[in-house]
Amino acid sequence: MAAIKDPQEENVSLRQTVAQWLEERIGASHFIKENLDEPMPVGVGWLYTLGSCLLTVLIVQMITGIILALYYAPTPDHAYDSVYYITQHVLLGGIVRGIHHYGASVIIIIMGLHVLRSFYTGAYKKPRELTWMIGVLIMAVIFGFAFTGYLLPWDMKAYWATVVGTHIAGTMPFIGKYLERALDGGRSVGALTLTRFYAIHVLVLPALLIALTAAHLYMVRHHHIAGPPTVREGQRKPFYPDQVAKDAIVALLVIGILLGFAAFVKVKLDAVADPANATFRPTPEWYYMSLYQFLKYLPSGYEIIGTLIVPGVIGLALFLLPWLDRGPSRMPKDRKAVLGIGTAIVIAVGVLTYLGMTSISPAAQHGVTLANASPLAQKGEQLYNQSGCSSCHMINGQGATVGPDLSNEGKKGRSLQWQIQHLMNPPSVSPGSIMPSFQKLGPDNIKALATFVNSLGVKGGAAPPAAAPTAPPAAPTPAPAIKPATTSAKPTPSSITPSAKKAPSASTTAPGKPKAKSVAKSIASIGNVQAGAKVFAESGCSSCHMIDGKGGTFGPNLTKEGTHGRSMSWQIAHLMDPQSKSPGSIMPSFKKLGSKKIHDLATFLNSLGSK
Amino acid sequence: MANQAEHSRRSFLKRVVEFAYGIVGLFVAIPAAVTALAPAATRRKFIWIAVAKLTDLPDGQTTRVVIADKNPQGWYTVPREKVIFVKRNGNRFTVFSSTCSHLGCNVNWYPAINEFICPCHGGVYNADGKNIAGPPPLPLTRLQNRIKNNTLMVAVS
Ligand code: FES
Repeated sequence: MAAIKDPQEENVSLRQTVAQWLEERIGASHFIKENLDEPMPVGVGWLYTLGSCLLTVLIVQMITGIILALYYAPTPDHAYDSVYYITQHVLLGGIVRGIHHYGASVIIIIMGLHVLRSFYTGAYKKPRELTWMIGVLIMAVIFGFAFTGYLLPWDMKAYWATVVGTHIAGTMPFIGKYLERALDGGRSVGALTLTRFYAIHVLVLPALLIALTAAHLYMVRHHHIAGPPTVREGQRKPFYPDQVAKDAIVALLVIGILLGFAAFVKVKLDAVADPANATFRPTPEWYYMSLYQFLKYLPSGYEIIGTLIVPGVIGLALFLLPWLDRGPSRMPKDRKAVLGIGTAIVIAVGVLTYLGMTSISPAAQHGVTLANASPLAQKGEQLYNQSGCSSCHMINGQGATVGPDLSNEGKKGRSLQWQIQHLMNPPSVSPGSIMPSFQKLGPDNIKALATFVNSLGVKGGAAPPAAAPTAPPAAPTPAPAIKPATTSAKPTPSSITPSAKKAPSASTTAPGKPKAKSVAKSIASIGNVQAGAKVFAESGCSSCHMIDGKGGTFGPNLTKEGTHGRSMSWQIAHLMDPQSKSPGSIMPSFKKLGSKKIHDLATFLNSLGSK
Repeated sequence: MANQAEHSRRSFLKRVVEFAYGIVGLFVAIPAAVTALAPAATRRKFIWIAVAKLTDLPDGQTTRVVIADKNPQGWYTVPREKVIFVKRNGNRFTVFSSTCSHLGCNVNWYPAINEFICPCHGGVYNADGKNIAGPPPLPLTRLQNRIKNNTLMVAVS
């Protein structure tokens, strides 16, 4: 009988040989098997997937962080541009940044749930005190990541959050000033702060995190999982594959949500950091919101309660929890006091977060604005808001940075005549400007608008000419197209100012016409491509968008818009209310074009670049 | 006897290990810590910066002026803009830093109510820079100033 070799057998023996070869050199198979076979306590279910989920997202952060570091430049000159570059110009760069950005929030949420689960089930009791304490240290490291990473994009929000953050460190008694300067790398937030935060974020904290996580995992295995407070009868299942399967499903879900956010909710990049901005209202990320709100309630001289005492006491109490709650019982009914206090803190944090998120700006609370102007200028302000000027220009932190910041326009010593001429025909006085003409507003309105613009930054309504010799001279409006990377970002008006107006920019006209090259390649649709192309040309779309190399670069290039697989309804909804589809977009609504034109436009857009 | 000699030899070697690695540690730790923390010891350096021609500062008013802060930070020497407020009373000038004494945000001047308001936690200062409401613990910092060639100069750090 000819020996027919079973191919499977051959396979197995090959695998065994390799496995044995490795085992002889590494000798870890016993260790691995023991860990995979670890029997789980009965009753360990979905709530016990949080730790592993946290680990998964942390690994995702490491990977995306490394990718971002390939592009990022930690200097005040380039940080913002490099972040803008990766989101706008690197293939999938926006998604990688999105994952890293939202990943931070996901980590905080999952970490919170993981801590709460351990807290409520008393998992920190003997002999797991150190496991818990190391966990609290990991939490501190993660908050450190969030704080240092926040500065890196070097936009307004980043800058001012760091100014406040390092000042918080500065309120510490005795060492505060030195601590603040050590963090800042000098006497203010600047170049040295950025390199420092970068080094801490990408070198120091990851090293700490890896070491602490390894210790935490070792301890978890050493003492085995705590499981539910009561020991239950039943069959104990092994860690692999029973629990790992649950872990995997949760990881899939969480990473799916994260990816969804990264893909569909664009991460904001505010205007580039500006130390001279006085009205940008820095509100912190949601996880620091409760602290921010709490600080507002503390009267003069008591700020240390909010900056140090309360956060410090809570942190320390968490760290020392195993010694504050020493009873041997893990049952909630035996730990009413501790659970009560913990729950109260959780509720307080929730309420403060809500209040912080819904609060309005202090100036608005006092019912004042910066405008203190003549009736003509007031009319101009109205026009400014109605004509969509803030889609491109910023005044005192409100509006966009596509065009120059107008906060101090009145100080530049430009004559009213110059302003009028500029509004009528921008390139005539500021060559290269891509601002559309606003001639159609009519002479009276133009004059009002010019008066308003000239009153900006000038106090008391009077307009002293060029107050500051060191302020920029009366240069012509810089043409943003020259330096697209810094000025053509898609910043959003300060997200918290409810009054950030986004009026439809009806008055824009089209400096350039898109090529109707792809017009013929119409796809089945409900609108008319040719008509859409006309609407595109007439509505000034090309002031901001480029098609086949023609048009502005403020908005996304639309040459291949039709290849993104966006539905007609998406396009229509986006034209009606851009922010509904791409939050943070500064594009004005085009609702007023009417349903017919919107349909045509959407059809035209979806035809672009499609074969 | 031999056993005891062996024992003391070992304890000597243990001291050697502790000493040698201890020194190695210090050799690395001291320069590392000093270099990392050096900026914490930076001295405040004042420089005089021109603010505005006197004729450009309206009497009886508080004017917001953006100056270019020329103090370099480390290797980064690009001047950054900084906001100050000049209150003029005849020929008396009071110059306020815009940095809120609470946590460092830039306050703004609201002529309609004659107060400075901080956009962060709502601190309020009166026209003299005194903290009158909200969290700020101290008045606005007053900057040293002098007049040279009809121009207001201010000392910034
Ligand atoms: S920083 Fe001004 S009130 Fe807090």
